[in-house]
Amino acid sequence: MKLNPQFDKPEQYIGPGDYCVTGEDIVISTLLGSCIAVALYDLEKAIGGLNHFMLPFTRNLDAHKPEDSARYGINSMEMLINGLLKMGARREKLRSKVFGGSSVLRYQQEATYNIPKMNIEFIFNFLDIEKIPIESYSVGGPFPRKIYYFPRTAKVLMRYSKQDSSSIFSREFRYSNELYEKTKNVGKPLLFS
Amino acid sequence: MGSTILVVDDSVSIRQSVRFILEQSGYTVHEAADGAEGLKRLGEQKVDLVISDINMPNMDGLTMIKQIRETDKIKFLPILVLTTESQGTVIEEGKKAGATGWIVKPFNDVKLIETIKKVLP
Repeated sequence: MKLNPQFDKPEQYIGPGDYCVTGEDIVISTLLGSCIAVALYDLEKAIGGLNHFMLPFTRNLDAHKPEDSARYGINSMEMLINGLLKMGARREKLRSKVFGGSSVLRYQQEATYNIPKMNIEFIFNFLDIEKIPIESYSVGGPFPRKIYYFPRTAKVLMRYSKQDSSSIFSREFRYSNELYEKTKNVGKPLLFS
Repeated sequence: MGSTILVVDDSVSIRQSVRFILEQSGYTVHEAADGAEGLKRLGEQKVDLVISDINMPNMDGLTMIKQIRETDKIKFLPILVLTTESQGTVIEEGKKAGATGWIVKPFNDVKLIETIKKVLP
């Protein structure tokens, strides 16, 4: 981990598909376009985590099943929740902050799917079903977001990114395609007897 | 068909997702939110197969599986573990505890149903 001189703390950067759970006094950062990042924490235990995910959507309407995509979002959230519970966080004490889901031009041009909207709807629905309160959020809009999250205090600093949004979007577009390819090959069951 | 499956997972979203797939294939589904509730359900209802998560509050999946294997009436019940855990050591623990099979999330619905058909008595 490199030191972030602005905050004088080690900084852990997470990319699409990653998550980080810790009780250490560090800063977790990420850069979001249409992806979602959820900060999840048990404040009394000073443990928190951040993930960065999107739902995989094919551009082929016939081949697409929304429940397959949702399973990826659920999985990302479950990894984050389990990571926190393993460190001693209590499920009923978990609180969240939600970021991301901005619309980049190329997505808006696609008539078939509104991927940022699907990501946003998924996460609000998920947190509602799982009864995890949302303490703050910043979603939608046209600009990428840079997030700095302090897991021990649950503080989040957010600014709209000045980085060229087309490069962020290209990275997320590639990630979405990779994820969709993965959905076809997951879950090979293992039988013991 | 007509078999009854108990789905044990602390995540409501996962239970809903698995229930949807199982019911579409004609199975009857009961739910429990952790290992302790799972054991309680097994005492109350006839179940043909258990699908269980590992990491859960109150009682985890491995503890529940061990207790099922020590309970005469249900000791031969097939149990599929459905979990985010993919580490070899954890899978080995599951095998030792008495799990019948192991499926790493996110799962594929077709493969899940195929596996269920293989392990149902």
